[in-house]
Amino acid sequence: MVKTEGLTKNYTRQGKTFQAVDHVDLQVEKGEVLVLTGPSGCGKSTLFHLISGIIQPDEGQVYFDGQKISSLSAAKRTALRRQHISYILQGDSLLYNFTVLENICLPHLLSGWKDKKELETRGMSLLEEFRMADLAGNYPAELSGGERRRAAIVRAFVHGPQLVVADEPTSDLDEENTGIILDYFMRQKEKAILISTHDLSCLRTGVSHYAMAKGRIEKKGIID
Amino acid sequence: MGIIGKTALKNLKRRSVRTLCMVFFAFMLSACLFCCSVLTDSMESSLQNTTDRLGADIIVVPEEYEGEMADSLFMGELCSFDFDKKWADTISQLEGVDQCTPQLYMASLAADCCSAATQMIVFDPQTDFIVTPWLEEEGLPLPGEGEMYIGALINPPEPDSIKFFGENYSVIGRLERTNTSYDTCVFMTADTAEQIRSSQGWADAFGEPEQSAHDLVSSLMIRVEEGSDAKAIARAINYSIEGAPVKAYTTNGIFSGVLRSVESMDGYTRVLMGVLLVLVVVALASVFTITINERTVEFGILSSLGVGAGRLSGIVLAEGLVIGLLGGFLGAVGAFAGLELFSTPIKVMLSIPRLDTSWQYLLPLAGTCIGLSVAVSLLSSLYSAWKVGRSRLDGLLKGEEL
Repeated sequence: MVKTEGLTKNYTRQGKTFQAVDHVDLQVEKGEVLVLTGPSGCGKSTLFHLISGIIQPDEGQVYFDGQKISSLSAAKRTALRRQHISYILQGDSLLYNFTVLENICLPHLLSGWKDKKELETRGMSLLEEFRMADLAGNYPAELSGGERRRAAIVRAFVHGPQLVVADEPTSDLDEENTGIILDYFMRQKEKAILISTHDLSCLRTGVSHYAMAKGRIEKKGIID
Repeated sequence: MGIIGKTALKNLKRRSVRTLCMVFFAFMLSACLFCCSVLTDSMESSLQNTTDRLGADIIVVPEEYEGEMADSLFMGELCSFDFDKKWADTISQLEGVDQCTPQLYMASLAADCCSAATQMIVFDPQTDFIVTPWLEEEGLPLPGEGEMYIGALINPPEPDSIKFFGENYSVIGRLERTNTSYDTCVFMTADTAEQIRSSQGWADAFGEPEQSAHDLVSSLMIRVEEGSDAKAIARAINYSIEGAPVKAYTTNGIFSGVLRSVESMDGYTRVLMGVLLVLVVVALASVFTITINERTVEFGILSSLGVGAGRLSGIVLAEGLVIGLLGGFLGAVGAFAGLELFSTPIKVMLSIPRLDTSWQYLLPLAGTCIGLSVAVSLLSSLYSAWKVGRSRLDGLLKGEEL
């Protein structure tokens, strides 16, 4: 479903150029959960930004279902994220002016989703799955960190994307919240899920483990 | 309302203090434009109505009474002055004078003897071209002795009679409203004026009259022949008739003081609106710029979830639109309420005979005020909308300044 070839991204800091992502080759299939571990600043977020079309590579290509993402215009990459690729941002990513249910539905409605009722029904059903249905009308400021993170995950899944890219989805979460989120990820057999983390509890049975250091990636294998 | 509008409204509602401040800027702009327009337009239309209703090219009044005459015609203030009618006969013979009609002004008193302090205008039906055509237009007969017409805003205690200096006179009709000082006058011929001046009440107030009303004139209204120069004829009246205790003015000339006031008020209004416009644009644009810089992550989140640049810009523009609409509407309504509540002190302070508060005038004006507020608010948000639309997504997510 997703493939990268020689994916490279350079940044310049204080006049010095360094490779944040250095010739990364990667392949993820439908139903696969890929966990990318590595220390902070090793290039995990940059790699995920490249895969989801948020930034453009300096070298190499990203393919999604055989389509070269890196050759698409910004508008087409946005359209791809709208329909097929969901990106879960690191940290707090809810909109504080909107309720939980609005946070889940609003971005998709703004992106042109026509059936608001259907979206809300889907959202409520996912909130129930995450044991948050009673918080649908609350504002993010009224939620705990774990609840906010779960709401962001519901938002990423509500429109049925094929690929979900999650940047540190369990950081700062307790064991219970981490368990709820990972259990949900593992149940998604129709999607490909990419997780970047330095939380080793994400390395569950059946996930593909890759390690990243200084922009380079190394396949560690499938966790038994 | 579309989803962009709802999002904008929700954002504005949740940042209520900031929103109120921005609405206040738009409110000020709209209210100022509304007030200034009503004041200057009312002054201009009052002047226009008065000169149109007069229909004279030249007005001749006793020397040094031109101020009182202008105030009486424009503001409806009471006046009472006169000169000998013989001068009217001399002036009417001058070359270039087409029509010449005398008017006599008498003022009643705000006392028990009179129904109200009212300006009485005595016209000559033989030569008149001001009141008579008006009566003909409304299909009314000329008033006879002891009869009079009252202006639209005169309300005597009894509808068919009015008391002056202790005597009751017959009111044979009320004239249509003209929105000029004539609305607060009563109209009669010299026979009725003579009756009033011969009454005991008049004698008690002013003493026995020395001259008959038939021999007195307060002003001469002159229409010049087609092709003649009114200014030249006015000059001829002023300089060629030896010993005449009168002075002639063109209609515009007698209102020169009012015209100057209108012009200066118009000038101040333009300067005020110009300064205010710049201030409001700068203030709103600053708030929009600061606000979107606080909201880069919010735009980044939406963009990362597939919301296009156009829609992100649309949210900012929609917020500008709502602020402009709300401020513009409240400004127009607030200004209208203020003008209605304080119309009397405003009229007295600015010497405006009446404020134009007809819906036909106010509704399009309110539309213009709202339109201006919306345009200014949109213009102020345009730069922010453009910045949001062209920003790099990774920059937005990192919260980089736009």
